Amino acid sequence: MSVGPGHYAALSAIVFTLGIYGVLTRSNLVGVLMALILLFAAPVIALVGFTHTGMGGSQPPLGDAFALFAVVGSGVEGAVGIAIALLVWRRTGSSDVDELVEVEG
Amino acid sequence: MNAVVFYILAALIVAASAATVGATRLRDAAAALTLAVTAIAILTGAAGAPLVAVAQFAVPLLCAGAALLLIRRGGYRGLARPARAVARMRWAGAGVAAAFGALLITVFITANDGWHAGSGTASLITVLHYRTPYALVIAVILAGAGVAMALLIGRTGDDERATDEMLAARRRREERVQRRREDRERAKRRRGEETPVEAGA
Repeated sequence: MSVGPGHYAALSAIVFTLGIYGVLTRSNLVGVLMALILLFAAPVIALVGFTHTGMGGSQPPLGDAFALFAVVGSGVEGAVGIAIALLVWRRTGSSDVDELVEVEG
Repeated sequence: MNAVVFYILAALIVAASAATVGATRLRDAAAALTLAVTAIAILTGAAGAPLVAVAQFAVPLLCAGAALLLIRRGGYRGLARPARAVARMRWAGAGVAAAFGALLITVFITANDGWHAGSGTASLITVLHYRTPYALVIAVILAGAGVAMALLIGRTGDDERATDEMLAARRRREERVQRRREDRERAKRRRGEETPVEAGA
C-alpha cells in the first residue's frame, strides 16, 4: 500500500485541529505559544506531502519552498510570541490568559 | 515512502501533538512538542524534502532553546509556573477545533482527485533561486523583521525598567489598599458581632 497526498492531508488536518484546540484552551501564555508552533507545523506536512507524492512527485518542489516559508513564519511567531509573553509577565506578573483578559489598562 | 513508516510516524506525531496540548505541566508539554517537531521533521525528510526537514527541526528547537534560556536566566521562572491545565472555555475551544477539523477533512475528501499536476524536476535550491525568489526574499525579510520586533518588544532598557518598577509599585499599592479594605470590613463585622454580646453583658 502506498502513501498518497490524502494521507498527508489527513495527518495535517489532525495536527491543525489539535493546534487550534491548544490555542483556544491553554491557559498559560507559553502553552498557547507551543500550540501555535503545532498549528504552523500542520501545513508543512500537507505541503511536503502534496509536493512529493502522487502527481506532485514529478514536478519542481514548489510546495517545499512554501513549506520553508511556513517554517520561517513559525520561528518568527515563536520569537515575537515569547517577547510579548515576557513583556506581559513583567507588566502584570501573570501568565494566565484568563486573568489577562480581566486586566484593566 | 513505506506505508508502515508513515503510519508509525503519523501515530507518533498525533500522540505527541495531543500530549502537547493536553499536558498539565509545561515541562511535559515542551517535551511532547519536541517529540512532535522531531517526528514531523523525520516525516518531512523521509518524504523527500531534506532541507525543509532540517529547517523544521532546527527553527522551532532554536526558538524553544532561546525561550528556555530566557526563562531560566532572565528571572522569568514564574512565567512557566504550573497554571490551570485548560482555560475556562475548553468546551467552546473543543467545539471550534472539531468544526475546523471536520471542515478540513471534508475538503480533503471532496478534493480527492484534485491534486495538482505538472512535469519536470528541480531541487529546492533551484526552485527558491529561479522560480520562487519572492518566497525566499519574503522569508528572509520576515525572519529579520521578526527577530528585530522580538528584540524591540522584549528589550529591557532603562525606560522599560522604570516603567516596570512603576507598574510593580502601583500593583503593590493596590494590593495594600485592598488588604486594608478587607481588614477594615473584617474588623467592622467583628464589632458588629461583639455589640449584642456587650449589650447583653
